[in-house]
Amino acid sequence: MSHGWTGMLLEIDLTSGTISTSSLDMEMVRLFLGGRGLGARLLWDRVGRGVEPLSSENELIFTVGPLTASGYQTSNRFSVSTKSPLTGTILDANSGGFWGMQFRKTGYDALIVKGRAEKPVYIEIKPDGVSLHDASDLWGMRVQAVTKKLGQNKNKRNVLCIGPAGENLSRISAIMNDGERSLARGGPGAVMGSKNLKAIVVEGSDKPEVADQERFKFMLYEARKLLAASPLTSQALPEFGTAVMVNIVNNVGAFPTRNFQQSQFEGAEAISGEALAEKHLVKSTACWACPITCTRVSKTDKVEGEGPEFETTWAFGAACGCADLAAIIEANVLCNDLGLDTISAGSTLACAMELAERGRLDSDLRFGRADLFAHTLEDLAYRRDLGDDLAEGSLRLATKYGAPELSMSVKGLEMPAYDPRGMQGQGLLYATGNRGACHMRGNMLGLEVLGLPKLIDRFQVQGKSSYVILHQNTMAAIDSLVLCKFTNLGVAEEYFARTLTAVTGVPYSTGDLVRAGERIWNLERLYNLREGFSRKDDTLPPRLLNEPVTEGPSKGWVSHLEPMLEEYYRARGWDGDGVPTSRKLAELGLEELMEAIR
Amino acid sequence: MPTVRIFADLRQLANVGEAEIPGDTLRSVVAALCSRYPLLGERILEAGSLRPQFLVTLNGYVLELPKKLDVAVQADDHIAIFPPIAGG
Repeated sequence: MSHGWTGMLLEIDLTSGTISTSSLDMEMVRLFLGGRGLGARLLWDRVGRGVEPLSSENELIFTVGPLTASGYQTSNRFSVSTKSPLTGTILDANSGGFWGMQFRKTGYDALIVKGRAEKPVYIEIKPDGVSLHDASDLWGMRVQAVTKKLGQNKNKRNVLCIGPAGENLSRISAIMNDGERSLARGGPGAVMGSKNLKAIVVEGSDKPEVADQERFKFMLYEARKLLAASPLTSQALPEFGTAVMVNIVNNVGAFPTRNFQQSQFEGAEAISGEALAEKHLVKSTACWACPITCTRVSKTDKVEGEGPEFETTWAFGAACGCADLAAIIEANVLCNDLGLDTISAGSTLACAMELAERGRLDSDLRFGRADLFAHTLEDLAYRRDLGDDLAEGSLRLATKYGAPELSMSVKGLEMPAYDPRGMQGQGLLYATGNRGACHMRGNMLGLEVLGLPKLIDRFQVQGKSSYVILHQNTMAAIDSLVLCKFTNLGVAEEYFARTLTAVTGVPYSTGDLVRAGERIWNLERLYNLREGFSRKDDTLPPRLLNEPVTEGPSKGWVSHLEPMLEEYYRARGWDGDGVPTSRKLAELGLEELMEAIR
Repeated sequence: MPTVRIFADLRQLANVGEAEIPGDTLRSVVAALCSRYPLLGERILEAGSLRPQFLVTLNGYVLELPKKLDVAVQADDHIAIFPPIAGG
């Protein structure tokens, strides 16, 4: 066993019911760190070209990182890697809460679930062994109910499960953990549902070992100081949560409204973080080992639950033309209980609303019809009536009804809450995202709007690629440690590298860490190339490339993607088709993978 | 008069979210705003100038401060002041 990593892999074949353990190649682990990176490397070897994502050949690879459960600030996160049923790309999603910490304490770096059970099952991993149980009585239950029934106990026993949306193979379904946390994007819930796997319950007893305790304690102290000193992590996020972004993103004209038809929402104030704090906030709460406490618990007359986050507020708010914050909170709680990705669910509804308004879809859905959220989301999760189409995500929905251009997605993944016409760099980030349009693979918000760490011209095209690449590489590394990205608002990468060294005993410089992120990004790119993705997929919806914003501060702008993309490929060391060159792959130690994409 | 909107915890200091404030440059508007709401002034001013971590937009365009502190403002302009925020 190494410090930081256990070096152990748990593998469960649901077809045969076989449970086995093996040792990981530690040289590979050191290169890919853990979490997202380790998951990508394992997936590359195990889920080859052409595997249908909802077939028994696809795998779910749950991973933690070398810092997980160490006690370092935000060291609670974990990751799942699989082939996405929504996009067909490589997918990873990560989540906070408590489950990741608890899984690490079971003594494994990774859990691979493969095959398909004949009938519903759940997995239980405890200090005295790993077992499979009949889950027939759990199948059909919603997330809160199954989490409670399986004995969720915050710091001792943690439940990860799917809801009805995953069971019914919705391509926008999430895997939920600790009740209200989600591995959301790209439809991992459907992969779990396709395996007849309802839940994974973990109870651990290991205490992760740290190589250099004195140095680690110092790094904890430094991070505590830095997070307390940053007004972002000590004031803004604890007090207002992520929804505090609504007003600023709307103010600058980058808040996509009514399925990206406009970029400012007249109802922004009513759904803002300030309104949430004033009218609906119950308390703030936090994931394990997190001093930031950005999570909101909010309530309405009907529900109480965690969230909504900024993205969810946008997806059911501005994207759907809805200024009713109570309805947004209720949609968020319902999505969590059904096991749905709130970004994709809200965006798919927005797409359906536009299809209906344009007469392509026979439905009562219209922008602003928040009264239809609950009924429509239930239909989506159970694939009833129109819900059967909605469960496929916006691209398949819009394609079926003859207007694929109305899906606001990249590679099939619905875009988050920033209009690329008002943030040119964000458009490049979305277009090049390996899992599709994503604000968590890097985010230009800091540089293009907030001035963090410095302000750059958000409409400028030239020079954006270097910022995007640095963000993408750094976030890939953070996703592999695995830490919350908000930690990086107060604590620089240099500190993460020093902490990684203290925990593992393996010397990592800041450059090593960012280079690991670059290696991971390129591996993900290779995976997608092997699946047949190419330069043509690195694009944005036609609306953003061709239809200028009609009013507000971004008026007249479209996304000028092409010149940014050219510059991006060059800066990445890729050829004009977006294929990593042999030289770049050799630099990253990935040269032996090149053959697979020739 | 230019309209000034303030956000997040700044509202608690002024007990308003929006006000019309006289002035023909950003500097003079901010000075008048802080004079009207002294608690807000204590939070956002340092040695008579806007603290660098605050974000200011003029009609939705983020201003580079302190370079743009003397930018001219018109009667129908909208100024927004945000404390340090992050999220996403």
